[in-house]
Amino acid sequence: MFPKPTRLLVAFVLAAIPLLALGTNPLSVRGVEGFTNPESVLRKLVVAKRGGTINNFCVVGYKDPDGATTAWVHWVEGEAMIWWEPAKDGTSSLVESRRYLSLRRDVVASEKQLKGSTYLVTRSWVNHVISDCKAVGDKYVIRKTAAQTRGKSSKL
Amino acid sequence: MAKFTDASNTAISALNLVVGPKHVRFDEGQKATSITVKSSDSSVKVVGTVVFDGPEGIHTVELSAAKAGSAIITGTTRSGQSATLSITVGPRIELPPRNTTAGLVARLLLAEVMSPSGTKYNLTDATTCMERMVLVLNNRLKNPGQFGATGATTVDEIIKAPGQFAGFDHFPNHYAPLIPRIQGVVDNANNNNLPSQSDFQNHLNEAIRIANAHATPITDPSSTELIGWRTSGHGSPGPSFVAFSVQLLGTQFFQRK
Repeated sequence: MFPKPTRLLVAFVLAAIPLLALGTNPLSVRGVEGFTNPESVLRKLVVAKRGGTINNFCVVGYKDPDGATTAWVHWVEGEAMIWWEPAKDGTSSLVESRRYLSLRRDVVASEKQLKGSTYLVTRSWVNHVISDCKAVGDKYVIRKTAAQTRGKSSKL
Repeated sequence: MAKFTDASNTAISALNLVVGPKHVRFDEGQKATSITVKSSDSSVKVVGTVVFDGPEGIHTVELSAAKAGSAIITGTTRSGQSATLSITVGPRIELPPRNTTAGLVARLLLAEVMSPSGTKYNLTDATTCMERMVLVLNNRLKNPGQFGATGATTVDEIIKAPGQFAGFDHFPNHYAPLIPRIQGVVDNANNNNLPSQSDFQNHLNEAIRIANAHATPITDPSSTELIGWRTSGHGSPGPSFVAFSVQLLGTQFFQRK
């Protein structure tokens, strides 16, 4: 059996694996190509998801191994973490994001509980993103006006 | 010389459309006069014309592709100059029904693979992602209990396993959050006025083709078995998974350790 310090080191490294997957340095995406008009993008999200009057967001970017930059959007009041992939025409839509994580439903305590899930995340991953966002992310407050309407429904 | 053009004023002589509206331009090559635009067949109707740029003699022509078929559109100026536009109309591209396995798989692929609006998108990688995803579904059937689908014997049961594929646990119930993303691809593929329509058509057609062939997946490219995927920067799907190759279009595939 390994001595206790070694076991602790192994445990630390294993716990850090999902965090390392985020990429190296978190960054601000303010002004970065593909992330233009953040207030408009966030406002459309609030309207579509029927958010409240005041909505606090934090957006933090990460550079992928292939050089592409994507961002995670923490919507405090919406209790959600949303993946922002830049769009060719600059008209990104978080409503159509590939990952819209509910921080109430889609978070588990440990990696073991993921059981191969394509989308569930661990609490440590969420905390790491939120911490990065607080440190270097861009903060926005979106106030919904009465004139903003609901999105349409569909029978796809 | 009169001619039909697209929105970027490039001359066009033929178009392939799906059923739905379409705007083209008719350029008189001189100051605008009154023009007539007629269709040779009821598959394409001329809804109307409006002057877009009088001094340049450019008109917007509103067409309606009403049903599958073909038609010749002829535009004629007051002085008698004319141009023709040959149009072929095909049916709208629709997803397989929701209550079929192909319909379920196609919707999963559209939800999970980067759409043509993504900056890094290309059809080759999108096709590879779709094929690998269908392979993952089939591989999971060999050991469904590991993926929250104990006793599963069908791809449907694998997809609907709790907590495995976002929005599909109770498909078609509680599926609404995914609809804007999936509907967006279908709508764009059927939007004749969208410059990137063909990208979305190709993407949608690939999803449908691969979904229809869900029972015959590609040969496994990994050294063990591809059994999962995650979007970029999303961590590992669990301790018994190891990353396979490099990520594609923001998707990292995983094989059995």
